[in-house]
Amino acid sequence: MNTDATAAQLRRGVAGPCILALLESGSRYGLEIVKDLDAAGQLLTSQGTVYPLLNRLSEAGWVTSRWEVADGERPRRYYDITPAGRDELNSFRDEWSRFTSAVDTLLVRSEKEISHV
Amino acid sequence: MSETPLVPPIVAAYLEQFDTVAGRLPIGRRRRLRSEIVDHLLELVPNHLGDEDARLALIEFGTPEEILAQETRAEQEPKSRRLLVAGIAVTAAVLAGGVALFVSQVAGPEQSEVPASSAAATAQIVTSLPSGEDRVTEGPAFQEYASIIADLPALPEGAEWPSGVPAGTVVGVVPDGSGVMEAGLGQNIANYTYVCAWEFEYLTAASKGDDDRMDAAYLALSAWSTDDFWAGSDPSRIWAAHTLGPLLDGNVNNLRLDVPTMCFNAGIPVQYYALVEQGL
Repeated sequence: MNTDATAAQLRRGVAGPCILALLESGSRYGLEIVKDLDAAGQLLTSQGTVYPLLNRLSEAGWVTSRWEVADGERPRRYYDITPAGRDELNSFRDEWSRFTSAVDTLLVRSEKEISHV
Repeated sequence: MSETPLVPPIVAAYLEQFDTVAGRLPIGRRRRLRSEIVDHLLELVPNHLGDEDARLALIEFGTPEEILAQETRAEQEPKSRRLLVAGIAVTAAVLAGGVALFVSQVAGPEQSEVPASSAAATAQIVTSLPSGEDRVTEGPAFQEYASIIADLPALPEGAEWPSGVPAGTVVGVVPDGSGVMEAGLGQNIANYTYVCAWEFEYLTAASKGDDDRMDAAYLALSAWSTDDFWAGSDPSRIWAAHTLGPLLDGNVNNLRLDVPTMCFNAGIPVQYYALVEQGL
């Protein structure tokens, strides 16, 4: 199994919900989202791919955006989570909990079986 | 005269590469993605960054192909990240005043880009003999203008470069004889003529609901906004945010307000209400 490819697929699968989770704690602009995802554990395959993800979240009605111009700073497009986005995030949390629990169970059991051999 | 390009050449090269590969994206989506990438890269790769650091930053950002793959939900991971080599020599900026007033009005309520009564054929306002002052073909301002328009990208279909510069700029001498106008006047006229033509083109295309023409006009204006001439006047990209940003959301109000200012700077008088009356 190609671990890098598996990791990339995992990141692709969870990046959207992770962005929703970031936005749940407050508005962010693109570069901030990228930095926070990086800090959490390099959750993007590359930085620029955040924008197609944001577009998808926006098309789904889970994220909105607006321009903000602060004195002395460059204008930035800020992203916010919508109520529908919060619902989606909560659904994902439940699903993720079940999923990781199932995978953990399987991985631990498999590891124990190998150690008994 | 600055020796340092205001948009790092490696970023300009990246954007050119993006424009080449993004052609297959749906209209509208390409505009928005490009706008997001421009803003991100200009913040990620500031001008003072060394070449090697800039190259590494762009590798972290990902190639246009990678981003496009994500956009089109491609399943395959791109095989490798290509090294990005700057291929464009961005010339140093020559900024000599004449900075346009920014349209800072907050965008009004969103409106359709296609008015109920779509305008009939709308002639371009940038022609070989546009309205306004008579045009002259002599003097340093004209020489500079002629040199600059030879290097600027093409105008939209139906537009033509004015054959000369406004008579008031003749030979670069201030009319009362008190001095000589600054170098750069011809460059200003050329650039504002370019943006005047493309802004008008966007309004015309929007009034007809012509997505292809809107797309072409948006890309021309977006590329111009990162060129040295304008990037030097507007390093914080206020104009792009106020004028081009709302277009991504289907709002032409700020662009319509900007046309008279840009065209005025090109020596082409345009009345805001005349645009409205034409359904633009």
